[in-house]
Amino acid sequence: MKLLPSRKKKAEADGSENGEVEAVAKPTRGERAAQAKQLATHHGTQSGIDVAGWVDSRTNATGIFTAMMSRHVPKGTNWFYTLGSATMFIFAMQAITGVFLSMYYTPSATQAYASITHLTNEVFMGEFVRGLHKWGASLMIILIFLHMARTFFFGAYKYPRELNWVIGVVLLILTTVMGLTGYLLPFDQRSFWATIVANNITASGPVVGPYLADFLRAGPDFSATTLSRFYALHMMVVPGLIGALIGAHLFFVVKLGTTAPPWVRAGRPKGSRPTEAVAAGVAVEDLDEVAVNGAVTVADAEPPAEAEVDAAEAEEVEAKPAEETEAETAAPEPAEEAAEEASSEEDGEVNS
Amino acid sequence: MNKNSKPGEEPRVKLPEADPRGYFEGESMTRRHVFTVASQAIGGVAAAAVVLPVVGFAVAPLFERGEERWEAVGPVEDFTDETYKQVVITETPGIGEAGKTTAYVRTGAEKYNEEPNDIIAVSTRCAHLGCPVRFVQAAQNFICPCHGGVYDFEGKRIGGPPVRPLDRFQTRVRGGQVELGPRYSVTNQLKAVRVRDPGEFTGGIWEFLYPPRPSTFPPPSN
Amino acid sequence: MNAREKEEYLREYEILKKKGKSFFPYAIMKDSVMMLVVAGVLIAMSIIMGAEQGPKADPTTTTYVPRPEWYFFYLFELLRVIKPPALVPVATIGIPTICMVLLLLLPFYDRGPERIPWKRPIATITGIMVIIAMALLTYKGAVAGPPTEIDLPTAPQYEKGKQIVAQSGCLACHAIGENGAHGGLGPDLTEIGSKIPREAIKQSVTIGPGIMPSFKGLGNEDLNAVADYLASLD
Repeated sequence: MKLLPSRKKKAEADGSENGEVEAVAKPTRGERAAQAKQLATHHGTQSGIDVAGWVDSRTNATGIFTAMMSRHVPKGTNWFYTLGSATMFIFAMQAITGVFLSMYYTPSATQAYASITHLTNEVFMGEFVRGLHKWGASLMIILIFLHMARTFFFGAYKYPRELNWVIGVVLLILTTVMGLTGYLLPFDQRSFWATIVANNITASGPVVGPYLADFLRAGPDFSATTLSRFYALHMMVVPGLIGALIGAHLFFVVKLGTTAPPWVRAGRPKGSRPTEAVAAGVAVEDLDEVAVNGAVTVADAEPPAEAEVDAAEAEEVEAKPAEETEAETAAPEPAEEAAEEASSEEDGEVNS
Repeated sequence: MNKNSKPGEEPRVKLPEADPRGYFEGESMTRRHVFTVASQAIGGVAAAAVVLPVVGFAVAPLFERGEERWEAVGPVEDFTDETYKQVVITETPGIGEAGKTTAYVRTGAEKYNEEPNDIIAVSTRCAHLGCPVRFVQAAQNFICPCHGGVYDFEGKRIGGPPVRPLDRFQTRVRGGQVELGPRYSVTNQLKAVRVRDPGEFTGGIWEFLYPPRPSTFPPPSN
Repeated sequence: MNAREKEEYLREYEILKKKGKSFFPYAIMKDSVMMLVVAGVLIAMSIIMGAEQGPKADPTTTTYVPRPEWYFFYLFELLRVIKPPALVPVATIGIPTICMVLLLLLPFYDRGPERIPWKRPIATITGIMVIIAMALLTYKGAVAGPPTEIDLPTAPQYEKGKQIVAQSGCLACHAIGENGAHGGLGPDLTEIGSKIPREAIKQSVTIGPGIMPSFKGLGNEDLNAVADYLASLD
């Protein structure tokens, strides 16, 4: 366990080192991971109590964790990018308060209201905990909307993150379903009539609507099992789906990276020709792109584009004849590094 | 998989190179095909064996019809043809207050071409989205407080968004007592049809677009 | 986006990433601060506003005025303003479904390479319009009283007529001041007294011209009170 903090520091140091591309003579990430693993095994055999090392040598958890933590966020990342994690935080809070509220709640049409009265007025800090859950719902809706607005206005739903937008919208829908199903549980006037109206809105869909409403209510009218049905949806089904989809959402965030604000321009990293360094990175990261990047495809499909690219490259070469030799010697190093970095990231994902 | 290659020994029979499409050495296309189909089928059967009963368990209430209930709400003399009297009946037994509902009851009035012996019981659920409507004595109409639906004395829509007249309850008189039975919906001409949820049209093509649910009672014959 | 634009984006992004900082601890610092702020707001809200319990659910009520939680006000208001019954399924199912499908498929029909908000005006303006529309609907839903209340102040001698008008469902089709159906089936009654003489008003209410129902059932005394009140509106 004692190894962890020092490793975190190491990860941090790695991160800042990676920021400076011109740093040349340093071990690649793969080598460093191997060293760390050796160290961990060594410690484990000596002391016999290195739990983290023991687990790590079997799961590579630290490697995955380090890859997640030391991944770079692009230049220009600002406060708008905290809305997603804030939404996830509030979901976690809802899950925690929800679990504890369920310890006092009775999902029965005859006892639900009384159990809420008891919970609110007699249980220690009852009103506070219920307040957290109640207002947490409102905050979650606000945050998810703000997060979506940021994604929309920054164009962050575009290539290659389309799938993550779709997952996000499904999460938005599921969050409103949580609001709706959670609504009925206190069983006061507002909850009851809101549920009636929501159910009838469902029922007004032609052909399937009436059956869907019957399914939600467990019968043609509000019945003994309606409340427990909503409770099951609110406690198990929808939170399970939300949790799984948040996992997928995060997976894509780590895999594809967060966007930079669209007005931030890249410029050139010092001392390297970006095309080569990036091409190598792209080739390993996104296999589909290899075909697209391949000269054959471009040449066959879009001759004018090729001409343009050629012209641009020719210009570049012409513009810096003096740097030519230097670039050629310097270029392979970062390119290799990028490839290695990409492949080590890939490893982490495959192992997970 | 490859029985022919032992360590330190050349395989006796030369097998063809591994298929570039991903076949293993010594594997035939049919064999892989059979295994692919079989593994999917077996997994599917195993999953269905658990999922289907559970789904059936969850959707069963769609096909169950409760017992037909008739509830006495007072002697015939209590009701007139001039105004409605509010009564509370139990629609779903066993869940206390939550299973009750309010109905407005009167006797048939000649000016609406109704038999004087008829008992008319109007539901309080708005035909728009199910909010509780109130009968306003002064105006002789029903008003919904949610989205502003208005119905006349007979329960026909005269304003706002409701899609059909107010629902009614079947009625009968037993031993001088008025009894209320299952609810039914009506068309704009007050013709009885099978009960449906608020927000659904009645009559014409809508009888097919909002199909009858097996969980409801058939309407009374007109 | 065509293949070349995609490649360009990835190339640009790779450089931006190289120039950026590592997620831990730089980005996560901001995240943590934001989480702390959110937690603080949440705790403050639940301490200040608590969690009051409403009256127990009562399906037999005929006086309760149901209202949804604030985050469904826009839908509530949509259902309120769409009056013609023929359009009810459009309001309940049609519009929400279409909006959700459009939102879900956004990356598949907006495929342009441009990401800067002010360089893709259609998307940006549409987004802002949607936000304004939702905010407006939410606001109108929040302030919507039941259709049995008139906020417009009136002289005490007309108070009785005002009560009858409010309780008789006139506001389902007509508007009076801020209340009632603006753009509904019937004309706005806010200044009706300056347009039609009192006798004509009483006549209309009694017989119910056109699609308007008759309110003869009110009785002569109440009809006079209604006519007096409406004639006083100018």
